[in-house]
Amino acid sequence: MKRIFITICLVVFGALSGALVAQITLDVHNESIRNVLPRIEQQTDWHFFYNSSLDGLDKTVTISMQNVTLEQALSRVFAGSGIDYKLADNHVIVLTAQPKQSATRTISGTVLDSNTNEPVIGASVIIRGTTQGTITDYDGQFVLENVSTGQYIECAYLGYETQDIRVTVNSDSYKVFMKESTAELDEVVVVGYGAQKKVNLTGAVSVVDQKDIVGRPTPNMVTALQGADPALNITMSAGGPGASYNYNIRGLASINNSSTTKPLVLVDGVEMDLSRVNSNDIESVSILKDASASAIYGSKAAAGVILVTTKSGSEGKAPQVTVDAKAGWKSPTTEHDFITQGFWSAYISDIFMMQHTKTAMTTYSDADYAELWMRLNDVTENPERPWTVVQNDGSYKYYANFDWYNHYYKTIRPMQDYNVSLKGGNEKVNYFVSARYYTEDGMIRIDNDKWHQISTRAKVNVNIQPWMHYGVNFSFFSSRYTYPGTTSSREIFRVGSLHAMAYIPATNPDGSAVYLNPWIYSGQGTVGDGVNALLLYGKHKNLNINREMVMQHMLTFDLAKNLTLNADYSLTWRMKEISNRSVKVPYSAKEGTTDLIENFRSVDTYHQQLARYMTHNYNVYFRWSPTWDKHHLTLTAGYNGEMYRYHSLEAERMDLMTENLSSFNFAKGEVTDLSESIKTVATNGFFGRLNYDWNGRYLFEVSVRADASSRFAPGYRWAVTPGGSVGWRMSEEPFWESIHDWWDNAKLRISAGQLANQMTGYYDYIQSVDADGMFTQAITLDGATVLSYATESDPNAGTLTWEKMTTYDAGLDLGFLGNRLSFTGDLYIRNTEGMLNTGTALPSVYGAADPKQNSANMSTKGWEFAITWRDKHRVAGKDLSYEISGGVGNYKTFITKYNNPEKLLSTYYEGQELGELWGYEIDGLFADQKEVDEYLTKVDPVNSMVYTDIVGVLDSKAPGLHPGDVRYVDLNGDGVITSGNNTVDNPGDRKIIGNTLPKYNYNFHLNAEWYGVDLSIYFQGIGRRDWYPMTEATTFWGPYSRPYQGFMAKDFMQNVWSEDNPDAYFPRYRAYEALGSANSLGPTNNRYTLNVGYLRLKNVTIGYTLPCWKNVFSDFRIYFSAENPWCWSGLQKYCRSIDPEQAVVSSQAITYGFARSFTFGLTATF
Amino acid sequence: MKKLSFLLLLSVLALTACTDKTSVPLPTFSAIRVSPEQAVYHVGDSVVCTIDMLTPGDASLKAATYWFYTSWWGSDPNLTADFQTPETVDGVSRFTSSKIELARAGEVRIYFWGRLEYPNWDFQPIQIPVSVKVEP
Repeated sequence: MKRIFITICLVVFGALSGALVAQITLDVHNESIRNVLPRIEQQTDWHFFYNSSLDGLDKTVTISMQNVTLEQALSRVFAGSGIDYKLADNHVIVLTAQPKQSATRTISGTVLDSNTNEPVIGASVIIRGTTQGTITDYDGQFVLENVSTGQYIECAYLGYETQDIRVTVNSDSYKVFMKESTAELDEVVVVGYGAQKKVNLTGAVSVVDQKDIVGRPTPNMVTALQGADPALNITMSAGGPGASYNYNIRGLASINNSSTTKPLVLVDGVEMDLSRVNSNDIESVSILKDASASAIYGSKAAAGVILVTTKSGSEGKAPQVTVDAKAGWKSPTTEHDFITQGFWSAYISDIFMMQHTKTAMTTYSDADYAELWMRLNDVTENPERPWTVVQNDGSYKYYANFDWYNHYYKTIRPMQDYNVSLKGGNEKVNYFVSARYYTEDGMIRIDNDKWHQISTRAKVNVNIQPWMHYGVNFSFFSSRYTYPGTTSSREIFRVGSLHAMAYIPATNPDGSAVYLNPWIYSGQGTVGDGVNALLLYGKHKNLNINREMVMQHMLTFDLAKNLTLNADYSLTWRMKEISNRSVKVPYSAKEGTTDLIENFRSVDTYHQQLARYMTHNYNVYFRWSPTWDKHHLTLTAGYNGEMYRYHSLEAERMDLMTENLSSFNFAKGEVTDLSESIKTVATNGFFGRLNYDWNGRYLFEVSVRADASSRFAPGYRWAVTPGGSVGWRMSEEPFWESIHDWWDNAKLRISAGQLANQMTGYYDYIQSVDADGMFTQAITLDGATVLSYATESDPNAGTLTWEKMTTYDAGLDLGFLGNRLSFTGDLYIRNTEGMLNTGTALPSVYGAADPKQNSANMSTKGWEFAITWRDKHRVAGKDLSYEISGGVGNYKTFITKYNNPEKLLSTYYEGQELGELWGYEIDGLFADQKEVDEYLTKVDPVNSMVYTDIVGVLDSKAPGLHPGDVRYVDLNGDGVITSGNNTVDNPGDRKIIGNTLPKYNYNFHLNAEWYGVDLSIYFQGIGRRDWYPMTEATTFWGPYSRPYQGFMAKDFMQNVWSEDNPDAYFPRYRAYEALGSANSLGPTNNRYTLNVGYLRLKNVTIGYTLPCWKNVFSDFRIYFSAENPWCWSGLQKYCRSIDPEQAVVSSQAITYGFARSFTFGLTATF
Repeated sequence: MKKLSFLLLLSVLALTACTDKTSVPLPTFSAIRVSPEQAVYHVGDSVVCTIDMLTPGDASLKAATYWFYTSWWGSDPNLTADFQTPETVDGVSRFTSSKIELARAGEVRIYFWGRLEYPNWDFQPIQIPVSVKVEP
């Protein structure tokens, strides 16, 4: 059906210039130009003057354009018609025929700001459809040669809307008025209970760009957000699917419950777990960093707030389907080039062990070593030289070259990610619906672990009445993780490598599992502590299921002009199901025999936990935002309530009737666990916020919230937290006019606010009775009958109340050169007071632990800034737009009050910098016996804490200090190396040698787009973070920790001291030196403290939007994306098998390996 | 053509530069002599093998272990490496095996093995085989 719709909106600023700024909307389908002209006349005060027989008037046109100037509209209408036009002074448009022949000529012009009439310097001026162009000079002027009449000149400059002018026959000189783009000025940032223009923000709020998150090949939003802002610190607990994570804004907000005192994450106003949010649904992410911005959220916002807004439908949009599909693979971020030659694995463990206790680890003879040597390069078994030799008694003896790492783990594993969304709407209803399926194979090769994840979202907004709006937002998440092994998948990584040396294969020739026999460490060592055998048996099954459903209903009433009332209710329901099945595991020590492993991993048992979480959340608030002349006011006030209930049921029973089915119905043995846990919390809060600005120049904000929490005793439940901020946009002052052409924006922000933290225990103020001990510590009187009993907790202080955080922030936002260059920076101080801590010490006659009190304080000082440069250039006739940005932040936290008058180093003390690392000083390795002898005249190693093992194990091959041993410095000169009284005043020979908290969190991005090709490069890193590898960091210490540790780098011995290698990193070889604090490498020291700061190429994505199939797809893009493809860290110099992020998860660095991913994908919109 | 040759030379140089580090000069040995020397042996025959060290190799050698071995000992727990130290015969370091009973028919092999230990954990192998035809 032929449809014509013309809307004209004309805004007149001046008599003639009105045409240049008129707002015209045309929607014309196959109409003749003759018929279109009256439509324009009807809507403007311009009239056409032309000869009715003019050629071209009957040409039909199809035009759809909105809010364009009259000149732009006319250019489109007459394009290709052969008609020329001229705007006369008396609002008459004269139409004439274009000359048949148009010779090229030179034109000139000036590009001006339409508001200020100031010249626009550096604007690109291009002849459309060609590569011919220039840029404007200091006066905004340009000259173009070889221009033909009828050609179009495009003028573009960042921060302005692109303008087109048509070269007419009558003019060789043009003035182009560039209209400032309002996109940046109108950019809105989601803040607590509302949104604000970014330019009017007075709090410290940063926005994560949607394009930095969407489409990344990550399972969830957490890893996508890592490094997105210098203030946001995210640490993954492991690299596996569904790994938990820890995060904070500007460092720890409290020394208590660091796992729960986390920033509040609100997704469309509802608290959610970031790992369950589909990053493809994200519209924007706001990070509220200071107390003034967060204050309106009160009790849960003590550590800051992350506001996630998901996409919505749009009015007047036809249904739009977007499909995004990507598939690829994951691989470890680290190298695993471990020793796989049996000879070397046996040899190294033996020489290390011989230096410790004279007895070799393997007890292999010279003949056995000859057997290993002859097989040295046999990657697979040579029939002449089998890896397993059956002895005369039937036992197995091993001479293998076995690759244990690749036996346990996959280095290439597939992943797939599919997203589909639908959005659209009209004036009554708009909607957004999405679904996602994500799956990846885990890294455990045997009985491969698998992760499946489904998430959906449906968001519908209905305008029930012009004054009443209803919205519903439903989301559902489900994940399922199946994995083999024991309850903790970490166990595989921890013990799987122990005694799993390369000379021992995983299986015997008959396929049975290798675990224990007389030839493996003389029958003392168990291969992989049974992990190998239980994986091969394949009957240990574990299942983790998490489901989360959020249903949110929202009502908005437009009560009067600028006055709205909002009410919403959300229900969050979560379910967690964990089930673990283990069985008795067989192995074979002799040919033809089968035995069962006798340890806690080989038990026939079934365990299940079912937990439900239910949260009801209510919000009722109004917003009044009147404007009087240049005064703008917004008042927000309301109520927020929340009720939370947790219910968990856990059971475990032994001896099932079958290994293949797991149900309590089959379990007939002892009930080893049957427990229930119920926790409830309720909070009520009233909040208010007042925003005022005068002409966008002077900005004020004040907010207050009063919260009550059931976590505290009556009388201590309420906390009132105020916040306030001011801003001054200096660039809006009249005196700024003279520099406004290059310095566009300058805003000073100052804020102060207080927040309260309720994240103590659920019932810390109540003395509790615990009956769960019956299972964990059975008590009997007759040795058989388990008694029923309960224990009473230590008395609590009933006066416990909120921890309070007061934050002061000063920030500066700057914009230069048409806002192409922008800067934002903040300095802040956050004081946390009343942290729960053991209070005043009570006399021992009290008979219980000293109750906790709100008695500790700490203070954090920090800074962060970000710089962005964005611009657009004309390259080969196409716009090249690019953006380069970077940010860095740092903070220091000091304990300012703590009940530790003796300043014991075993706990916090006043003046302590959080994260500080105390350790001994090592000034090198003893080069020769002379140095040892000289040292022994000054230091007594027998009474030193750090040489206990070296001088104490007298049956070792070489007891006492020797060349190659580490030389500890006697800092206090007392002749022994000790920790003194373990106090600040007497730390012995220790000093502060580093800090374990991340310093200088930084990132930088490059985004560019040209000719349909888009490129995104995103680096992220930490400048410094000190890590001391503790005793079980076995892949770092190798045999210095445990001489039977299977994963050892092939070049490990190149770093081991010997007379041939005196400058080596590691000392003389000796087993167990890193195991235990009494050994020479056990105590924290400066020599082996490593900087695990890193620079990581977090993501690189290159895509191409295909220009074809436009009649089918509005957008069709193919892309390749790599996540974590490259990383540099100082740690790699000595250990390439530990990821620097993995190192800080635990001092042992044993966890599910971190992964990089590579994916190919396509996005189609139609 | 000159250009092609130049590129070829460059390629060879580049490949040469990428090879593993040059190892220390190893001792060199004669071939294994089997006594009694005959074209065909029979199962149950016994032989003795000798081999001479022609050059001692790099002086930095810290330790060396030498032994004789056969292709059928590998799966037999009772037959182990036949370790030998050299004796000087006519100014030559000579290794002589113990009596080796030919237990398998077919084309069997007798090896002279060595493990040489140089500084900084640089262990180098010596492997010299000889084939012997054994009939049932």
